[in-house]
Amino acid sequence: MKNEFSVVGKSVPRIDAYDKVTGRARYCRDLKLEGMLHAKLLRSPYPHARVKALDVSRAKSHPAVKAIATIEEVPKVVGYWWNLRTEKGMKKMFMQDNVVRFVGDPVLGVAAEDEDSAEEALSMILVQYEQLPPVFDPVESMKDQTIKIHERGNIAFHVLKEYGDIEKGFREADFVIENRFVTSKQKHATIEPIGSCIADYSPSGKLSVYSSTQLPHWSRMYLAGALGLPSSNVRIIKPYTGGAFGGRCGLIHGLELMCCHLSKKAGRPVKMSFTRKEDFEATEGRHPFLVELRTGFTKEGILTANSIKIVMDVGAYATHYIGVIADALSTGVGLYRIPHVKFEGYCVYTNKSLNGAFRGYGNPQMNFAQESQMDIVAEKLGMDPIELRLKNYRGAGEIDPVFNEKILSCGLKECLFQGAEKIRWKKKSRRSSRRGKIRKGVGMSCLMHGTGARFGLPDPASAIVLINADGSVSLETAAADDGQGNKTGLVQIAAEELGIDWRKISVSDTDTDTTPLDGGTHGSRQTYCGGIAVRKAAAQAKKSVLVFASKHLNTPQNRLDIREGVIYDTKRPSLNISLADLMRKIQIEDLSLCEQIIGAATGVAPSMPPTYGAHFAEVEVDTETGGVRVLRLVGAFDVGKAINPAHIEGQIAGGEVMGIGYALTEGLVIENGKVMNSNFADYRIPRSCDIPRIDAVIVESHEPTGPFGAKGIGEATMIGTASAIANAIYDAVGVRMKELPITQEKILVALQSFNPP
Amino acid sequence: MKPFFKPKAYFRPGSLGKAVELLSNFGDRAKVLAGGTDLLVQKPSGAECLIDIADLGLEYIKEHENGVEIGAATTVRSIGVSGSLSSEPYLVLRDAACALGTPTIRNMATIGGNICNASPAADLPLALMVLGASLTIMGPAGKREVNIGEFFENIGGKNIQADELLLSINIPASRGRCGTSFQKLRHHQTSIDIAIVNVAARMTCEKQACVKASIALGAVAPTPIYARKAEALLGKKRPNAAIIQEAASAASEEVNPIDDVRGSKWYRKKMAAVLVRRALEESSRRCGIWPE
Ligand SMILES: Cc1cc2nc3c(=O)[nH]c(=O)nc-3n(C[C@H](O)[C@H](O)[C@H](O)COP(=O)(O)OP(=O)(O)OC[C@H]3O[C@@H](n4cnc5c(N)ncnc54)[C@H](O)[C@@H]3O)c2cc1C
Repeated sequence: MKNEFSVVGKSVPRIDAYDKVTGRARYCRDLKLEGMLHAKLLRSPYPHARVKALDVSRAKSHPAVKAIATIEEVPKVVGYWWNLRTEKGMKKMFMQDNVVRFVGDPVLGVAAEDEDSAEEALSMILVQYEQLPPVFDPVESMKDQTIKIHERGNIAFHVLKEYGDIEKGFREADFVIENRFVTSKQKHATIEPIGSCIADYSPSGKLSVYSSTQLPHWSRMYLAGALGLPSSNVRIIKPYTGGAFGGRCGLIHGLELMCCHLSKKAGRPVKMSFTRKEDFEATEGRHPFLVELRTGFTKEGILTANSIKIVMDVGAYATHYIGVIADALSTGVGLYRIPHVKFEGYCVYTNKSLNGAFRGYGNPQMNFAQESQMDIVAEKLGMDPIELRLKNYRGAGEIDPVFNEKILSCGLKECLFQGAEKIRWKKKSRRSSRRGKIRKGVGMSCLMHGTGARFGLPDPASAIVLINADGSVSLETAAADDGQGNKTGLVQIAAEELGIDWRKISVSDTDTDTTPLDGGTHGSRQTYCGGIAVRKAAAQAKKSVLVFASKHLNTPQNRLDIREGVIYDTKRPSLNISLADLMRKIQIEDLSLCEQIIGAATGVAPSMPPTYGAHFAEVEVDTETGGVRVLRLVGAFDVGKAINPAHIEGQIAGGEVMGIGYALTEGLVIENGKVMNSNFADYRIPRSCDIPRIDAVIVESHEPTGPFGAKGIGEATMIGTASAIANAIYDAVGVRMKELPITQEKILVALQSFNPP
Repeated sequence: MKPFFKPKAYFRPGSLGKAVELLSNFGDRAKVLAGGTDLLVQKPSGAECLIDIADLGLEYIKEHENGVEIGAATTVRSIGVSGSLSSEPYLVLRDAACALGTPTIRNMATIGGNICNASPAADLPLALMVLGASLTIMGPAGKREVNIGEFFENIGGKNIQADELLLSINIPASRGRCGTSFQKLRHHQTSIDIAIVNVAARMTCEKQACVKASIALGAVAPTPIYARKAEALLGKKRPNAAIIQEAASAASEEVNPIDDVRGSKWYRKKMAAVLVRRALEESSRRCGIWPE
């Protein structure tokens, strides 16, 4: 099977590596347009207030100020591409009022000749606020009848789903356990801060926007809708991007639309780049969850019932809330074969900066609760946690109840076996070493995560393959590469399908004027969804090539194939012509033809196959300080087929590191609406020197619907790390940490070596 | 905070005389630039010009019969790897240097900057305090000596004027057998964090008894402090677990930490006791009188 492929399954270098390593790659922040202005936002100092009056007269007279656009003129964009399905839904995306709902909510934007002047102008603006009472805690917000963050109330969304008969499930159980888990507001902490764009609104009615968005085509539609322009007049150009992780999965609150308005007013291009502080304080983060689980199971370790109740903190505006809670549902109901499940979720507004898409969507939160709960179940039964999972997981051939679809590929068992082997699960003397001041422990967790969004959201992908006269290929796709390398993966897929050298293929820039509809880079979807489109387009191009070749070589088309750029007769290989020679003939030489080969594909992927995985962690806990050191991590993932194994390993390493942060250190501290740790000194992500040995295990189950068997990977790699670390901490010191991040101080309190105040 | 720091002028004098002249000309409007790992992060608004001390020959570690002299511009990395500091009583300084920041920070950061920045959580001053170091400071009126214990005043305050330059740090040689230790607890357990509590200790021993103990703590008061009561409890005895625990508890009563995002007052106090105990255990081990 393996040797069948020429380039799929090989770790070819990144096509963008040279530009990035040599500094040639230009990110949005590096770009300059002729006559460009610089914009800055005036942000609310209050968590909840009405803007009663704005005096911009002094700022307007500042010689360098060219335009001011206020909260009364620029709508806020809420919701996501679900809304695009209907005109009514789309209208709901644009909110306009004069209320600010979190500290940092934009009140107005100023565009000036330079950043310093823009900032100076901000200090000349007088705002009269009417302060409104704020509410910060989602549980309080749910109950509160007096404080309304939005007109329709503080509950943005409520969901109740029942599978089977939950009461029957509890009756069938020998044991029932109940636990409550709390997760934190993690920030994407991308290497390039979130929030940078240039809008160039030409008086002719054409709008060009440079934005490091994950969703070029959806962003185009959002902006077209907000500004009343035909989509064809809006062009989104995505430069190189320094990481996204969901943080750029939509328009950025206060950014693109503000720049468009300012540019329209000023008649010049306008650039705005958020500082890291603004990124921390006023862009989306991961939704904090409060999860209550009640789980029933038999003596034999068979799960019979699970009641899941979630309160999710949406923040001040709702963007990705429904999808996020749906992902929690999908993992809470789909991963294990539990006959009776009740799932209830509340998405609640609070006067804090908004939450949105973030690697894993609602899965890491749910996984932390669920996989901690599984560990508690295993302990109660005296059963090996791996064995408990093996008894209960849903495998290939079974129906996923949430998507109501048959699971076609599932390598979870191999992930568990190979991961356990790598970390030497059996040999690590679990529990027995609970002596001494420094104690070691091991823990594990499982996960599944759907690839793409087909069963919940519009999820298109498209590709165009153009074969040039010299046999080289231009691939046109809007599949945005945020740094994960998916453009390289798509090149490999096209090269494999076409039978040519991958170096002969170049990929277009990500530009909505030249690339067809794409659902964006999110949901671990581009290798799968984008890959399917690219493979189809390449197959179509190949077919056209073979039609010409068949005539030229005078041999039936079904006997022809292409390998290493040579079209040959499979029965008589000496009968052949190079792709370049044939292309030159039909495109240039034959004056009666002059035809370029174009393959095009568009549409939705046939499925949403889950990626499976298992995390293993070994930690050391200092019982006197509560300090945790992660000694080792193993991540084993079923990716269907590794198109580029080095990319998968990169995702596993990166995801595990992000997971260490989620487990131990990351989380915005918000006091009275103010972010207390809006910098990397106090908001701590792990550094290279904090990273333990990480082993990546790749399992290939072959997904029949995927391109060459592939499915997603990006998000899965961080989903269960925190759960595995929490379980390892329990194994080491016997305290169950139910709240993220697990700081040393919290562990110490839990250890009760001391009495907290 | 402005993303960029744009002082109007930058000087890199080649002699001490020139440096002091520049400092007295500019006064408050000038800032001494060493490694810049504090200064360029703080971006002080009043700093119109920077005076870089890289060319003043202040980067050295000299051993002499009365001890060791370290130039103010010596990097933290050089201190961490120095052969001159690889035996007692200097291990406390070496260990503190190795615990400061990350390799990239240590390559730039200087000992002088660490002292003059006067952060209550700084690592090297604690080591210098238990070593009884003195500082040589030069100003328009010439040189003066200050004991490190008298250098820090209030939070961020220090016994050095805007027109003065720290030249060197002088550590006296030890009389008698010594054991030292440096302990640090970071806020998030990641390598780059500054301390939420740090402790330096030193014991001087005769035969099996401790004849003198010195304990300094950081990040638990507006300035680095000596734990005088704890020190007194150790005097002239052979340390055992009970004595060390008693001293550790006493030290945690001498501190007055704050509550902030990095740690609660409660936790810092508890940790002060744990770290002092560990520092005393290691010091007595390095003295050869532990375990009992
Ligand atoms: C990421 C990071 C991590 C850090 N981690 C730690 C840590 O773990 N522990 C710790 O203690 N510190 C830490 N620091 C703080 C800093 O690195 C140290 O305090 C360092 O020693 C400062 O030295 P410098 O040469 O960079 O000083 P500079 O920034 O150049 O100067 C600091 C101050 O001292 C003054 N100054 C410098 N030299 C002289 C002199 N010779 N005479 C008079 N005044 C002078 C300057 O004017 C300035 O006010 C960290 C900093 C960063 C950015």
